[in-house]
Amino acid sequence: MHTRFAVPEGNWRAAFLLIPALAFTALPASARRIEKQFKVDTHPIVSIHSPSGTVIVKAWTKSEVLVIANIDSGNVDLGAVQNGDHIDIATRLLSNNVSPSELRADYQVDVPENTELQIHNDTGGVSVANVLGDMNVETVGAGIDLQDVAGYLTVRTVAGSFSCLRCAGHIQANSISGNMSFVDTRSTNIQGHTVTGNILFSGQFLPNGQYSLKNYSGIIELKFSPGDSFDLSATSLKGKVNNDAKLIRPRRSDRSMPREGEALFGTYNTAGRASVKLASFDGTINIVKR
Amino acid sequence: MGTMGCKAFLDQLDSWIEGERTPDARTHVAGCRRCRSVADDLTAISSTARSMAGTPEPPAYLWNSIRARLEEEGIIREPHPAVTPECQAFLDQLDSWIAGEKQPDARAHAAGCPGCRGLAEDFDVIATAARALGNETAEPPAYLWNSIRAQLEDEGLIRKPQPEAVALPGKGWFAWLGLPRPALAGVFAAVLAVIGLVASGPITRQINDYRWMRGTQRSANKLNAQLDRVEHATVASVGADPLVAAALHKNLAIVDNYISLCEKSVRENPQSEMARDFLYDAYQQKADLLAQMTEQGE
Repeated sequence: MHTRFAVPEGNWRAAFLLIPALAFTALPASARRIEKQFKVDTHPIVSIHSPSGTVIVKAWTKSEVLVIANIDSGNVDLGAVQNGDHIDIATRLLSNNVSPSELRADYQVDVPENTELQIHNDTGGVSVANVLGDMNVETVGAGIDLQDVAGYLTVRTVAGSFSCLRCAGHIQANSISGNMSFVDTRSTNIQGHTVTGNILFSGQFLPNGQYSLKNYSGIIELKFSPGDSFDLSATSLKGKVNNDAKLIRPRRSDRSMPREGEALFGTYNTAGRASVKLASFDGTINIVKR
Repeated sequence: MGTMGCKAFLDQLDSWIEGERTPDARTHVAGCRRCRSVADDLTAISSTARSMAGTPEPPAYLWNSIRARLEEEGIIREPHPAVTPECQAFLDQLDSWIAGEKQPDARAHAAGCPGCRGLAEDFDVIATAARALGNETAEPPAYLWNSIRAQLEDEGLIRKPQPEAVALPGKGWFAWLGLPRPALAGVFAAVLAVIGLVASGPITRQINDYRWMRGTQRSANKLNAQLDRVEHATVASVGADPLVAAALHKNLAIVDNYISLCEKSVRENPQSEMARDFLYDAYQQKADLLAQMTEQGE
């Protein structure tokens, strides 16, 4: 019997979309709203450093960057400076004695779609939509929600969850205790690595694409469709591998294939094969039909 | 790089090793780093094999290097005495011996010649291990290949595989060498003979376990010491937000637990590549987390 992934896909999306949006709109009466606007060309670099609060970034058609900050405390302010095409946005401390709760600032940033993003957010949440430039996102406990993004995406979160919906490009995600989900992705290269989190992949297997998902414990769930084509290697050193795919086993054994734990190798369909590598130390790997 | 591609070059590697080098192949090798590396390695192995046909001892540098290692491990025996024409005849038919066709004259020679007997016994051990592995062909078991490869890489006698993988024919170690299986038969026998000659003692799983364990521990101890130093310097200085600090400490504990379980797994099965891989991943996670904690403290 398969151990199914704990959170249904629809709920993942809803949760990741709603939480930052609600947090941004439900502001306390004392919150200050600060706006700053910058003229840029079509490929600006925007870096956002926010220790606490939500960060929502969306692409628009204007060659401008618009920053809207909602800040509760009088001890912090919006720091936003432009240096050529580099916009640096940060929560600025106005006093040496700022309590952690006063650090909260919620940002909504509109950027040209080819913007390169660098986001650091400890707690709160990061949501990025329709931005096609490269991006690097780092958080401690904040969840990361990317939608319709492309480019070279590097995501690192200590404990936050990571959700990637209709993402393209090259995706590299790393977490310690956060869950990851890759849904309807159109990426040729995805690497997802978490220590104790679950990983869900329900994206496209592009020809010659490389998909590598790894965790220490937890569940790795890979969803496939009848038309997909991939070479699969799935190994759980101490856990289980459950498979619904009718795989063509390799004709001869390959020394590069690990012979340890519970392992599964084979080819699903043959044209334009992608390479899929799933590895877990003592977690469960489920390969299931979409 | 000329008109010849990697695949075409590898298809005629047999001829290359035999010294038949077409202008196209030379042009390709001159322009392709990986094929040049494969060709250089195999040419070196092939020369070793050829030199063994004349004098059944490996070249001095190879012998000294491997003998030193084997002496260190305490598994070396007395060297082969002076090679007589009878020894040469025995060595010439070693292929048949390994295949189980032990001719009466070969048996008689082995019975009277301690050097050749030791060599034959070692080949028997290797062949038995290969059969026990249940492979379709009499390849040595994976742990033996791993051990041999690690040793040869350590000695700098062969190169590590290049990251920019070109689709190569064959499989496993053979695929790594980039040589079609039949063409490798001679090279394989030569490597095996070199190993057999020098490793004139029983190669046991215990020894390999010990060596893997020692190698892993050596690397792991260094990593652990470095990480501990950083951890002591970092943990106390993590930033002001107690929620963030708590999350970082909680996840540091998760990674430490991950490391200790992986270490346990490596101790239980030192040759498990996967367990070692997870262990090094765990160290990497800890290093990244400590770096993040350091940034938080700044």
